[in-house]
Amino acid sequence: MADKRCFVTIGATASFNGLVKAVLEPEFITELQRAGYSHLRVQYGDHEGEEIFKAKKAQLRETLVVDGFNITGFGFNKAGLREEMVAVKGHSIESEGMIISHAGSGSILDGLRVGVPLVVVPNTDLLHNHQVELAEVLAEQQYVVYGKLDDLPAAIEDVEKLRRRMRDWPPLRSGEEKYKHGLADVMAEEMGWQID
Amino acid sequence: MEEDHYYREDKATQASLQPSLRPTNSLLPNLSSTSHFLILMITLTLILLGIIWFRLVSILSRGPAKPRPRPRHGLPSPPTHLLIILGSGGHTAEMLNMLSQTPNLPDDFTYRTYVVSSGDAFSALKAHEFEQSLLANVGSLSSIPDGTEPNYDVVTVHRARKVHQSILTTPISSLRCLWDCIAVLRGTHPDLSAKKSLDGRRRLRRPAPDLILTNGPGTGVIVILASIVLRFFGDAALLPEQRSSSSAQTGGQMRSIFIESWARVRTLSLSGRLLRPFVDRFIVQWPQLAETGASKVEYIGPLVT
Repeated sequence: MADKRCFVTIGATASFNGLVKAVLEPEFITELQRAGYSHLRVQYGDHEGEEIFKAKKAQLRETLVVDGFNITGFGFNKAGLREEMVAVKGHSIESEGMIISHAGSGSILDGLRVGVPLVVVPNTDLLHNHQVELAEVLAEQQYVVYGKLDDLPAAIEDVEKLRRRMRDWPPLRSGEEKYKHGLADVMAEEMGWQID
Repeated sequence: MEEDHYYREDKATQASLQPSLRPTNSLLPNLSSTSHFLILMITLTLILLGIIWFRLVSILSRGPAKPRPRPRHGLPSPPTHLLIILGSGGHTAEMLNMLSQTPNLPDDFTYRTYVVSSGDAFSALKAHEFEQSLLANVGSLSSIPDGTEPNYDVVTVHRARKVHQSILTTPISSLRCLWDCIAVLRGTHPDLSAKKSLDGRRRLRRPAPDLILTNGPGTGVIVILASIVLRFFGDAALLPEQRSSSSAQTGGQMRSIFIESWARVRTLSLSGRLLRPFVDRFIVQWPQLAETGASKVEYIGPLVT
């Protein structure tokens, strides 16, 4: 059986224990198994995240049949998460999994670049969270699935829909714009150079 | 005739007023010397404020850059200096991502300064990695002569405000940061590598940057503020060798581009709101932000990839 992965990242700046808990709920795991996933891998962050991860994983063993379903995790990876994300991409469309990410722009961009279906879950604990806006607009334009902490299993089905009609990031430039090379052209203009 | 009549009447009124005016006149010397001093001070302050205002308006409303030829690879041309502000994880990643899409960066800008704030070793490391990737690209063309001086510097300035820092001490730390940023722009900051003069004896100061790029970290606000301070005082704030350097005529103008973070969709960031009146260009990455109709805001397509 192909290794179909679900990779969860909470980012490197703030803890997001709500997300660690939500992806280790029995309902979520059951739904993952039904959708053909074989591996859940969680980047849980600091010490507190690790405690929650271990406790939840132990609980799951008692309540669910998790044979043949891997649950692994780690705190941080200084080298970045690109390799983890590429592993989710898999070798064929059957083994392509999904990424569940906090709404930090760096993690979202990493996921979009790899081109794997991405669920973005804003951290509602953070005040004045402009990240919600980013997640909303990206979901509207069908780049990502907007994940809600209280109903994460629903995102799994949405991901399968997104997989079929996913858009590539970055969008193509129309070629009619004034600044074909983007920022480089504005920089040239400010230097007084002619734009080619 | 009529004029004459009025004139006469005027004289009459004046004459009749004369006695009553006298006491008023004699009042003037009675005004205390402190109120004289106060009036003088207020007048001087108003004049000074007026001068400052006009100077600010004149430096902030400069037109587009003067046309000049773009440096071409291998051809001798005056040095060009780009200053890039990095900061805190997301900003650094976005900035370097945008720069990596800029073709011929080392040809266009012969010298690059990266400004990071103290304690942000991550951004400093990323800047060095980015420069190495530039070098690797150029190296493949085997065009870099041996023994050339490094043509970039990573400069660390005091942090303007740490997360959770008390509001009372913030002005002090911001001033320290401003002091550092002014030193960076004037080329006197100790982190800047020294350029030797042609005879190899004198250390030459770096010319002020031609262009400043920032995408929102707090340090960027202070660097732009520092550039406004320097431009306010004009040539007097620059060192003699900066003034006489060839780039002083066409470059060293510290033109500035603010790029709002990709993460900002519907509302401008605090840095963006603060800097909008002071930068030459203000670019956002979502059309929703440009549609608010705020002046200067430009959307030119998504810039991070």
